[in-house]
Amino acid sequence: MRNGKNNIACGVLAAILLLALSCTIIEDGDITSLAQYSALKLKSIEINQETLAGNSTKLAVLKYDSVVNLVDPTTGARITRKQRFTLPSLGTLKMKLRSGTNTNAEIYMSFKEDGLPYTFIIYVGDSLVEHYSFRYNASNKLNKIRTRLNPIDGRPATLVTTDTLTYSPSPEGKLVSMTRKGVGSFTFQFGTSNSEQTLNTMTFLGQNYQLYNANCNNSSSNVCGRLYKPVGNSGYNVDSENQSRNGKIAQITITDYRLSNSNCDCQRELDTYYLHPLMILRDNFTQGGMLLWIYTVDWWKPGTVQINNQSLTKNDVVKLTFNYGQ
Amino acid sequence: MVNRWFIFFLLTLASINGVAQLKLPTFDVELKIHQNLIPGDGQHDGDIKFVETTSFYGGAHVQINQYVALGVFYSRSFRGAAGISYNDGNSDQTAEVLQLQKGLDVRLSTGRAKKWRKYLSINYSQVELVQVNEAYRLADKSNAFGASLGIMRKLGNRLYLNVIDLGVIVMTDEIFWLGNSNKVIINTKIGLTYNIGKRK
Repeated sequence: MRNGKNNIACGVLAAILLLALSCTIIEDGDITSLAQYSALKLKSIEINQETLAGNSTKLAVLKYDSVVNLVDPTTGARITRKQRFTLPSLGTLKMKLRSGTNTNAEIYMSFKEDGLPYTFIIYVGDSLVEHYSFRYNASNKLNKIRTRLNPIDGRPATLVTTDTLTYSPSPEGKLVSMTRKGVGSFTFQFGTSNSEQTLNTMTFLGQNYQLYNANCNNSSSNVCGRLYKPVGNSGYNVDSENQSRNGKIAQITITDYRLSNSNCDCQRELDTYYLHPLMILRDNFTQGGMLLWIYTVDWWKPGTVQINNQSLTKNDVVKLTFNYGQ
Repeated sequence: MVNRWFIFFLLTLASINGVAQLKLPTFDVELKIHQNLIPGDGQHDGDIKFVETTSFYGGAHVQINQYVALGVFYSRSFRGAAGISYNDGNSDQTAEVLQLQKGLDVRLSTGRAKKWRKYLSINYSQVELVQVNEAYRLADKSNAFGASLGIMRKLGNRLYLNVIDLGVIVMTDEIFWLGNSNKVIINTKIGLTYNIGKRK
């Protein structure tokens, strides 16, 4: 009798152990390899604005991500991928569209067969309001960025710029200079961080810009930093921080930093930011972090009007959060 | 699918039963809290700085003699986090992590003592690690080998308090989302062990 009870206990114990040892926490939909992870797609972009004038959260959602096989007849480039995102109206708080459009829109992006971005377009209905194109030299380095803003159908574009980027010879292939057609040239001073080329200063149209690691503690400026634009006896600042997770850009935070222990930058109106393709395509370019700083000349509009006795109780912050999925 | 290592354990158990002339050998079961830490590089942005989990640990052993026991264990986390480097290692993001460890061990302990009993455990396990993100989960598994040193205090005829158990296990394969250098798991356990069967 006693041996019978013991045998039952042994059997129950064995069954429980069998069940436990066959358990797993890995589920069918889990990503179990680097190859699967690399294939993750951008599914949505959350644009969060926390400002003194109010808060706003908008979600740009992927409509489609398609494989195509097109050839651009003008360049011969083969386009193999197209994406389209909805873009809700961003409102009037902090982040806007440079074309002045303040209505629901859509973002269209195309990519070459090597994965490099080719075109970035913002549509309102069927109307193209902002058009950015990216072209590459024989060494596949980004050498032309063209911007065209055309917010009103049937009217000429309100802005067209063509930027030519020049690099040092291979194998180094580092950015040397940039020229905006019909406008002027950028002059750069570069540094190095973790073997990466970083931007220290730039000059454009007589205006100097200096890049610091304020609030970043020894980080590469390609990842985190403050751009300072000296004006008169003071200057304007914009902070940008980029967070990656598992090798993919996870979040970009842009701060209109107005609180300081000293020299509070409080006596001018608040800055405006424009949604720029480099904020979304930052990690699609080899030097995307640095390019994002260079293009502050386009996406950062400092407030210049002096406002005396203005009381600013917090910083204005815009966050773009990138959500991936299978 | 039946775990082949468990079949090996059952065969071993049957052999022990045979040798012991069909008498039930002494079993013990244990229930512990299990804390694990995997240190990482975390030098560059996006790199894992650390993974830590807290688990419920259950195990069972068959006493071969008063010094040697063969057993199986199962440990599943109820909380866990990964620190992801940001700002060149000066700040962290965190992500939720799940961990599972299951396997076999051999426990070598000092003989019956009035109060304190020290032991060395040598183990083989399969480790599963999952990083939970909002829209996707990264999951991988690896075999691992390790050892731990512990000390138990006798609380009664059958009951022991596992005062502390400190160990290290080394994974044989890389967990792809951890990175190359992250193969060592430092762990500690505390809990209770209860003897079943022949009274000690």
